[in-house]
Amino acid sequence: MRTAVEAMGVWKRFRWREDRPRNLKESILGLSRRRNGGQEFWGLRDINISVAQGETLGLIGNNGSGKTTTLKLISGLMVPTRGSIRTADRVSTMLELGIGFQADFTGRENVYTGGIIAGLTRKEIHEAFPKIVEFAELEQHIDCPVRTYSTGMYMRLAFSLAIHIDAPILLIDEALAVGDRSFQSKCVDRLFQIKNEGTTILLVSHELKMIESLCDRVCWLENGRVRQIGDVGEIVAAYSSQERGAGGAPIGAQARSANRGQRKLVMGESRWGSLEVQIEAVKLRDESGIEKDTFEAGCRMSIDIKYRRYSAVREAIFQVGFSQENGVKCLDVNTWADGIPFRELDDRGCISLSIDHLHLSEGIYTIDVGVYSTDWAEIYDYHWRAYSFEVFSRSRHEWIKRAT
Amino acid sequence: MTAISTAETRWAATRKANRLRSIHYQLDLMSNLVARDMKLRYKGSVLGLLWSLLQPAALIAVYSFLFTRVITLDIPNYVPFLVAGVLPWNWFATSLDFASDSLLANRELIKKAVFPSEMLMVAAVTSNLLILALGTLVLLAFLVVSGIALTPAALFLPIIVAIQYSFTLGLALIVSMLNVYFRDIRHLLGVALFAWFFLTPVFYDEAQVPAAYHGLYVLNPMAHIINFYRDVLLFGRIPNGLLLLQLIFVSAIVLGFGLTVFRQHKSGFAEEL
Repeated sequence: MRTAVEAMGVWKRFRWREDRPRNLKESILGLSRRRNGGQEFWGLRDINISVAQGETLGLIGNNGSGKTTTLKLISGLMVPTRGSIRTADRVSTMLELGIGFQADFTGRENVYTGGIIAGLTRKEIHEAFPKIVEFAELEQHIDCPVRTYSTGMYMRLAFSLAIHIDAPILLIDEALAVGDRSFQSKCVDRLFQIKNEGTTILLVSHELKMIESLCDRVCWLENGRVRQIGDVGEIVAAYSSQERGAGGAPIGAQARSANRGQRKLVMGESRWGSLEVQIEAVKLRDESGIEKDTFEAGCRMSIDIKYRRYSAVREAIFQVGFSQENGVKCLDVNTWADGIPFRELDDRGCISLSIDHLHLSEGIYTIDVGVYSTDWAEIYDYHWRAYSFEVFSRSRHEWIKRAT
Repeated sequence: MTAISTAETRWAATRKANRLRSIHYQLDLMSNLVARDMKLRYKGSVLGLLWSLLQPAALIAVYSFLFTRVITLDIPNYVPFLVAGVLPWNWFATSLDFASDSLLANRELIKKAVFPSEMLMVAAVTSNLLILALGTLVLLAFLVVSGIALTPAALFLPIIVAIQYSFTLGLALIVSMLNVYFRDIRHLLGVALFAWFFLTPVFYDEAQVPAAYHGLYVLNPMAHIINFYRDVLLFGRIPNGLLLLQLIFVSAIVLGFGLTVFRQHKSGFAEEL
C-alpha cells in the first residue's frame, strides 16, 4: 500500500505571549528579557501517523488535544519543531468554510477566489463550477453579492465549494458540523463519493457517528500524544466512555452529556407528589449490571428504582416512561397495566424494569418515573424527565441511510 | 533498502508532476489576487480606477505650479518631466505601502489557507503596475501636447519597468515580512519613503544637485531608474549600458534576498499573526 501522509516523530512547541505585537524598541531593549519570558508548551509530542493512499483517518480527542495542530502541520501551515512530515501528493485543507470570501463580491467571484486560495487552478474551478452551484442550490443567486445571502445560503455555497475541491489528499476540520440535516447528509454522501474516488482523507470531528461511518481507522489524541490508533469501533467506544467519565469532555459533548444522567429535581417543575413514598434513585444498567447512560440499540437494559416509604402506604403502582428529545413518548409502562400483582412495600426497597432488547433508534431519551396510589388517585412521587440515556447503533452506515 | 528508495522515487515523481501544475496555479492565483485587489479598492466608488490617477494628478498640479511659478527650477517641458518621475515613484511607494500591510490585512488567509503567500506581494506590486500603465497613457498625452516624439529608445521601457518591478518586489517582501514581527515597520516605512522621495530626483533634475552630494544619488537605485524613464521617454536617449547592467544586477539581488528571507520566515506567519 502506498503511503500518502507520513508524520514521523513530530513534536510541536508553542509559546504563550502576554502581548503579541511587539515594536522595534522593545525587541532591541528587551532581548534578554524576552529570552526567558514567554511560557512554552508542547502542543504535540512524538506523533507518528502513517496514512495509506485512499484511506480515511479520523482524528478524535478533546479540545486542545492537538487535532487541528496535526492538520495544520500536515497541510504545511505550520512546521514541526522536531520530526518530519511528508505528503505524497497535493494536499487541500478545509480548516474553515468560506476562506477568502468577500461580502461585496458575488457568489461567482467568491467561488473562484475561494477555489484558487484552496489550491485549484482557474480551469479546475471552471469545470467544477456548475456542480458547485447546483449542489449549493444557488442557481438563481450566484451573481448576487454574498452580503445579500442568508446565512444558510452563504454556508451552502461555502460547503459546496469546500466539498468540490478535489485534491489527492484532503484535510477536513469540523467543517461539516453546521448546516441543516438534509444538507448535512448531502455533504456526507459527497464525502463518501470523494472517499470512493480514492482520495486520502484526514477528518477531525466531534461527530463520532460521522467518524464511525466514514473512517477506516481512527487516531485518538490526548494532550498532544497519540493515545490509540486503529480500529474505529473500539476506539470510538473507548473514547466516548472516557469522555463521559472524566471532566475533560469536549464542549460539544459536554453540552450533550448535560442532558444525560440525572437532572436536578425541583418540586413543581420536575417533581410532583405527596412524597409519602419517595423515589430515591434511578439507575440504568446494562446486561452485566454495570451502571451506564449509553446503550447500544437492541441490547438489554434494566432500570432500577430505589424507593423509600415515609408513611403507612402499603401498596403502590410504579410507572416508567421514555420520551424522545422532542417530547414524543415512546414507552409508557406501569405495574398496574401489566397486571403485576401489588406487593407490600418495604421501608426501603428496589423495583426493577428489564428491557430485553432496547430497540430504539439512535438518540437521546429522557425517563419519567412515578409512584402512584393503587387507584391512581394520588401521586406519591413523580420525576418528570429527570433521567436520560443515549442509544447508539453499531451498524456503521445505518444513520446515513435513514437520513437520506 | 529497495522499498525505501522506490518510495523516494515515487515521492520525487509526484513532486515533479505537481511542479508543472504549480506554475499554472501561481499565475492563476496572481491574476485572481490582482483582480481582487482592484475590485476591493474601487468597489462602490463612482470614479473607480480614476481615483488612482487623481492623487498623482493633484501632486503634479501643485508641483508644476510651485516649480514653474513660485520657485523656478528652470527645467524645459517641466510637466512631462514631472509626470515621468511622479508616476514611477508612485508605483514604488504605493506598492511598498500596500505590501507592508498586506499580510496583516489578509491574516485570515495566511492563518487558515495554504497558498504561496509571497503572491500577495506580487499582487500588490502588479496591481499598482496596472495603475502605472494607465498613468503612462496620460503621460503619452502630455508628450503629444508638448510636442515630444517618442524615439526607438522607448523600446527600453519594458526593461526599466522590469528592473523597478523586481527591485520593488524584493523590498516589498522584506518589508512585509518584517512588519509581521515588528508592527511599527509600517510607520517607519512612511518616514523612510518621505525622505527617500526628496532624495530622489522626482520633481527636480539630478544635474542641479551640487557635486558634493552626488555620492548619495549614485547609491540610490530609484534615482537611476527615474533618470532612465526620462532618458527613454523624454530625451530619446539610450540608457547607459554599464549602469543598466548594474541596476539589473542590484534589483535581482534585492529580489533574491527578499524571496529568501520571506520564504525562511513564512512558515512562522500562521503562528505569529
